[in-house]
Amino acid sequence: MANIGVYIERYTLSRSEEMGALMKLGQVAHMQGHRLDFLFRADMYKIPHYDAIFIRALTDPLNSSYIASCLAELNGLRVIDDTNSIIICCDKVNMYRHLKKAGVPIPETVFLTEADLNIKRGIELIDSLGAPLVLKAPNSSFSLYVERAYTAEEFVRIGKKYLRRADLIVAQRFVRSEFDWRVGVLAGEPLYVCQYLFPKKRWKIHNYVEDGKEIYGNVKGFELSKVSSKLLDTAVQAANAIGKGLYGVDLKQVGDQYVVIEVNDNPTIAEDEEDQKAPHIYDRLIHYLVGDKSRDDIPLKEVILHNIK
Amino acid sequence: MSDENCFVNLAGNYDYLETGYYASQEMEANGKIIHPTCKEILDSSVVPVFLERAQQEGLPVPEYYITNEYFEPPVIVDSINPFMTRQSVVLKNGHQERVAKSLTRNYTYAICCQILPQGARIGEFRSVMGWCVKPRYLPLSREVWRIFRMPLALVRVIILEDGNLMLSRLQELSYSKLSPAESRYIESKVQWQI
Repeated sequence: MANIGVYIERYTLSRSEEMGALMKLGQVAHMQGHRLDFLFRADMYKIPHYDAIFIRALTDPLNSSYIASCLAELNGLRVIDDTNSIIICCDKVNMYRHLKKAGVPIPETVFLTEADLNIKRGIELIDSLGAPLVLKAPNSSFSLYVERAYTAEEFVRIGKKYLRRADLIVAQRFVRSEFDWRVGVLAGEPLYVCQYLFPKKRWKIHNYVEDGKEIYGNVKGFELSKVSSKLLDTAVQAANAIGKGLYGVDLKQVGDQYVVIEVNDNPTIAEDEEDQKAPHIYDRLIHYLVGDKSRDDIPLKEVILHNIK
Repeated sequence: MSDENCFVNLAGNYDYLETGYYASQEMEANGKIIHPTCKEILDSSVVPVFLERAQQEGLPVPEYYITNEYFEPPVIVDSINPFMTRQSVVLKNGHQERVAKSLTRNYTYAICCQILPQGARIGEFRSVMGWCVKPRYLPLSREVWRIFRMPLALVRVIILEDGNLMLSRLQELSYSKLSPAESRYIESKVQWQI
């Protein structure tokens, strides 16, 4: 029996689908004879008493989730997300450096400093990468601080805004795609596949409109066996460029080619969304956390039946 | 660990996502052995992680806890969030609410509270690649370099009533602010590659 701690922040519980996923995870853990507790910020000191920690809170190296991850590692616990994954994925410059180094197919990407943010350089980049350019602040998440620049003037305006957040920003070629995929990868193996569908007349899955409202696209799940092996291979290659933890790899499909847009640590797992066609997610996560690799391939249903017997 | 055949990033300011931080990241990406690495920077600058690592290495640190609201003086309070790096020393009752509200951004983010032992005071020293002008701090400076691999740091310490020291925090020490003696020490240890 293992003691698993799920480190959460209160806002993690704001969507019932995410809470539902955590409840399912708890059920699976209990059915396998493990204990699963929710740990809040004030419970941080309890981390060394657990066997594994699963972080379900916004990760950032300067947030308390990083401390939870560090405390787990310093005490020899298995942890999702590990500190290296947080350090790499929370900084898009670092993430793209890792993807480039591993030869993962990504859109043409350049890193820019303040000296690059002028009209001349904007024209050069639009000439070489095409319009629109996609500009990203390194520590953006949930599609925040990602914008398209159609002109050199827009490039300078957006770039300067993002440079207030970091000393480097990312500029990328815009990739128009037929499909956008999210592949969940755990320990170098595909975990689930889904498509995040774009809200109408938007180009990002998660949008913020002027009155502050958030607009999400729908999620459509796919069975791992029903999608292209090239999609899965590309996602695994990208995840392996970061580490051996849990990642959500975003890919765009152009014809029969796949381009990795980014690798996310701490990917969303929500009930009836990411697990629509992958009910084994929770079983795999528990086995990864408790370190039992031998049962990695047993589908959830079989495990539940086994436990009921 | 040998100090030879490695690169040392002497920016002094290693703030997350800023030039000094990216200098280390670029060297790491190019496969060079560099100190501090991005992880070394973060593990030194996030106060509870710094304290935990120091403690595991057997170095003296104060008791601490993480909260986003209630704490009891006397404490040193450090913010933990991506938007500010601030600290406050609260010695007496009556100021907790104001300090907590300010450093947590309205109780949203965490703070780290280090308990100040009775009669203790707060001091600091400059650690330059494991060396310090003041001999009193030399052993701790050596440890800071050995464990955390931070070549330049302003080290906050708690000085106990009996004169013993506790590590409390590592802070920025810019290369441009080094004294002539500190610069000479650096020159004796490195070969420049710009």
